[in-house]
Amino acid sequence: MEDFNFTELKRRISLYFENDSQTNEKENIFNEIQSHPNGPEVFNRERTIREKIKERVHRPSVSAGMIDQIKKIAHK
Amino acid sequence: MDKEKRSPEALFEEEFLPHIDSLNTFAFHLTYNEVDAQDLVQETYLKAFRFIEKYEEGTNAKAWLFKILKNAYINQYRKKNKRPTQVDYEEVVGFQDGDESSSMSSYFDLREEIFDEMMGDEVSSAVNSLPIDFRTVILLCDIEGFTYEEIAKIIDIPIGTVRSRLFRARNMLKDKLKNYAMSMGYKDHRSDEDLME
Repeated sequence: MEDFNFTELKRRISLYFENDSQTNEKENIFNEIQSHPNGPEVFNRERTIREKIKERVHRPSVSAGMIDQIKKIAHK
Repeated sequence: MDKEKRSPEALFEEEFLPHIDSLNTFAFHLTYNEVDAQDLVQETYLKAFRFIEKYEEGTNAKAWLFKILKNAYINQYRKKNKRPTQVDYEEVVGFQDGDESSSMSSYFDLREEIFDEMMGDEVSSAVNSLPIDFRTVILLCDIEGFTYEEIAKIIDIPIGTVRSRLFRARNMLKDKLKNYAMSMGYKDHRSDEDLME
């Protein structure tokens, strides 16, 4: 497998996490990442950061009243 | 046999309404407050219903609604003669070319336990402190899971710009979270040897 530097490692990790990456592409990219000495650590950290941001970001709740108001838009 | 065409009312409730939570979260992080966010979501649904004949059943309702919301938000700013924080894209390109984080030492050890110590507000504050164009791509990609192609269509920019904007946005977000972790007294626990490329 070809050698690659840290910048390229970051690029591949970023590519892995792209929402439109195909499954078979992901598997290849994942194997390449794992072959880099720092790959598993940087990959895990990136995954944690992304998961935690998604999990922790504030999502204000939508009230039943607001849903009713919006439903009325279609029934006026 | 052709599927029977639904009424606009049924289409509205079955395809548009399920995205209300996602739209509300996006609107909240654009406007910074829940009342303005609700107004923006309501305006989005009003416009979606008014132009419902332009929507093709079974296609990407979520992306279509997000595009309407984004445009409604921009129009509100125009009306108020205010402009969201603008970004110098030359600076973005320059930053990427000179990416300073080309070794392990530039990566702060943002471990899971640091996030566990956060109350939740820190992550939202960090996201909300990003300039609008960067905040938007983070919300669309990392929070809502849109693909680069969908994001490009929602905010009318080329896919390459989505990629570069996300790259810069993530670095800014990590910097903000890193500064927060350091202010909480966290240190990078990795050894000097680990930090060598």
